[in-house]
Amino acid sequence: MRLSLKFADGASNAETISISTDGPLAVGPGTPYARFFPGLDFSFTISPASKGRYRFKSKTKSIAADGRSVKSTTLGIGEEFVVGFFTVKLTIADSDSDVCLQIIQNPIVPVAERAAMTLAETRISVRFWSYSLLILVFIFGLLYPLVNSSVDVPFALPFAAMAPGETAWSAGELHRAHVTVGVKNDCKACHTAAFEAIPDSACLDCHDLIREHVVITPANDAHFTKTTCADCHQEHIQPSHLVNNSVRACLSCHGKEQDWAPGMPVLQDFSISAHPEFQVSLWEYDSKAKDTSQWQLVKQHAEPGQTIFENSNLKFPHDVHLNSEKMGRDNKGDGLACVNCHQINPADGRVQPISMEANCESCHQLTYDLDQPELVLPHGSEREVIAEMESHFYRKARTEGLLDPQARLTTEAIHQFGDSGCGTCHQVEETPGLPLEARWQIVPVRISDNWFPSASFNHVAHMSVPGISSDSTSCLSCHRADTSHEAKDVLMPEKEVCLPCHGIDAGRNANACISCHVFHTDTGSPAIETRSFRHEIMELGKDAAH
Amino acid sequence: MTQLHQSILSWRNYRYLAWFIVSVVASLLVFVSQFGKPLPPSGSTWQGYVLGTFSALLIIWLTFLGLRKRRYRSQMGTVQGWVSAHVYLGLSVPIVAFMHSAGQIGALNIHTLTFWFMMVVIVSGFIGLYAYLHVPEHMNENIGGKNIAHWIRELSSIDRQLAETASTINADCCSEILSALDGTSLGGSKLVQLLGVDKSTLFSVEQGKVISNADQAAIIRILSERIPLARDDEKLSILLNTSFSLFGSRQQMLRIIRKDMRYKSLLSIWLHLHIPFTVSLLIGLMIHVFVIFFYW
Repeated sequence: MRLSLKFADGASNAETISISTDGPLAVGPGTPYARFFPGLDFSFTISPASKGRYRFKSKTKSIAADGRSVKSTTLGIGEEFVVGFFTVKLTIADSDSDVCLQIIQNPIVPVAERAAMTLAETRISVRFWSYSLLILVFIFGLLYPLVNSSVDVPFALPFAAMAPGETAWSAGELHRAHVTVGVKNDCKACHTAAFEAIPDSACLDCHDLIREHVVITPANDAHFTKTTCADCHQEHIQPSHLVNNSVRACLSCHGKEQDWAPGMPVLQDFSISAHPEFQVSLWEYDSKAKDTSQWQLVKQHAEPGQTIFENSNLKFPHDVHLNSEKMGRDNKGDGLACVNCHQINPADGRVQPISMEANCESCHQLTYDLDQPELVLPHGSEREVIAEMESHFYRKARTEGLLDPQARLTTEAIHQFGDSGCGTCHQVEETPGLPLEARWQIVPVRISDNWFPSASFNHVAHMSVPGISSDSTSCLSCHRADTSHEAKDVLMPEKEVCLPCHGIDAGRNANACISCHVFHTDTGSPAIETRSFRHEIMELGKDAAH
Repeated sequence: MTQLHQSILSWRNYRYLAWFIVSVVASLLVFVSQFGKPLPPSGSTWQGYVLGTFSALLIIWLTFLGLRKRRYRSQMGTVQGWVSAHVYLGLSVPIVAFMHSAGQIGALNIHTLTFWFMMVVIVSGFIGLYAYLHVPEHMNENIGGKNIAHWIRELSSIDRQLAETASTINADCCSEILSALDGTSLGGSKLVQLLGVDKSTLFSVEQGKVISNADQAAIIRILSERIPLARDDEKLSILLNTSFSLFGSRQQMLRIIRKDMRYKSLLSIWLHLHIPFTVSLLIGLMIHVFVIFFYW
């Protein structure tokens, strides 16, 4: 290859040389021909391509040919390219060369005209960002959730399964109770219709056993079933909680006497002074009444100066049982602790009912023959007691020669039904003259197993409070059993025991009404009946309107 | 100039600061009226709806600044007054909107996203306000009372002189001077403008490679090394000294222009967040309102 290089920038600097080479020729800085391209900061090579055409190739910066920036280009006579601020024209050479490269130095582009000098001149404009974000938010905030929702839309979008779903519209996390199959990702489970409030029927679909606060009657219906479930149980709120524990919510009804709710407890606030006195529910025994109605549960509270007693018909001195000097347990002389008899169910924190078999019998065994202390009388039936002793003493007469079994039976029966036998714990009524099996009647015993049925209390929760444990000292802080000498003493605490810690102004431990008094009581009307009825009426109304 | 900009905040004896205080206090009163009610504060109480409606109206009104400032013949208040109101009422929006949400902004959904769009708009707005209050005085100080076009013209003039000088100097020097002129970088991407990055290069004959010529330091160093070597050649010495002097001036001018570019970037970069996120805030707000009523 033979070529001429001709530097044509001004007559004074014009220079032409002829070069003959076999391989590619490198020109530019760092080559013997650097002077032809003063100021160019990269070199390039020239090599023959095909007849009359030449290939120009740069390894670093681009060269501009035919309006395009390229790393290599093939050109023929009459064509030109730009390298740096030089234009190179391929012209016909004289007889010594195949081609002449005429190099023209162009004026250098002013510095301020080379690149964007203001942000507005840069590639991505504010407008581009604005439209982009608008489209992105519209697609991912509205269209995809809409397509992925339960709403029927007349269009589809690609990759919908990977895009945000209807939960992107959720106003907040669901309560953990609702993070369950069928609810978690199915908005329609509760939001049954667009632009309509959640109907109670959506809640009752699952919560079908829930009950109203009270028994619904025509007089009070409007005050309960018109309030929807969602009015109190709010979802999607932070921090998530489903139960409305506002005292105000309770006071909206209980704050004053309501003519539609006679006998309803009325209070002004949830504080020591405003809370009504605790009312213990006690069983009242009416010996004249027949069958099961002999026992009636009656709520009572003490008027000033008055003391309430329980008529359980049981004899039981708490103070004696707790006295370690008088009461030796397992011959250790350390007395009894409350929990020896009053067992707490860890599941609900409630004290389990007392029974002879579970709590008394281990100490108070009903033995009746000192010769055979392993024999005990059955507990619960006077007739069976006489029958057991009769059978035993007559058998003893046959086998051991007891001389007068009937006399022995009579003596032992008088002893057993006397003050040192059944009479230790029971009130015994005697009708002289009747046969032995009908002569004594134990007055029925019924100990209250739920003193405050309208309230709930968890003993276990309170035992986790620092300073309170399951030992008797802790129990006695609320139940003054150590000074109680008779079973008729009511040992339930007054409100002054609870409210200093749990009153509305008690700070961190302040409770609300529903902490003790549940709203959906066991005695209220089934909501599925009251609400479905109302729902049906509403549906009927709608149909009639149509 | 400083006084003019600061008057945005003190416009008409802090009229809009008073508006801000009234808006926030009124909203606060509405918000606290929820406490002690059966249901906890949220966006779905009547107070929540009132605060939400107020926030939405504020946002829509605030976006009208963009329209007002383009209508130069409008008689509806001065642009300065509008900007003052825009700043103060814009500051009230996050406070009112936060009370509207009752602080329930922890989850990730279209509602909280809209809230965070709003926060980006507010924060970027305050970056802009800060820039408008503080950058102009630095800008004037930098350009020394001249127009920036003046400095650009001066730079072009120096570059022409250098190119002419280079054509009369020896090949190596000519190459390096032209390479420095051609390799000078000014402006470019948003980041380059904002940070004032100088990517200038030149081809060093001595090293045989392209080297950095940031702040024209390399060419000035090369020329300063060549000047003592040329003391026997008076013509070359004069040419080198002339070039050295011109590059010194060029260095100063490039500094001024680059710094001016940085200041101008600071004055408008916040708009690259403020405007797009205002648009996304508006669309997010629309979806938020739609969804709230969709799940009534």
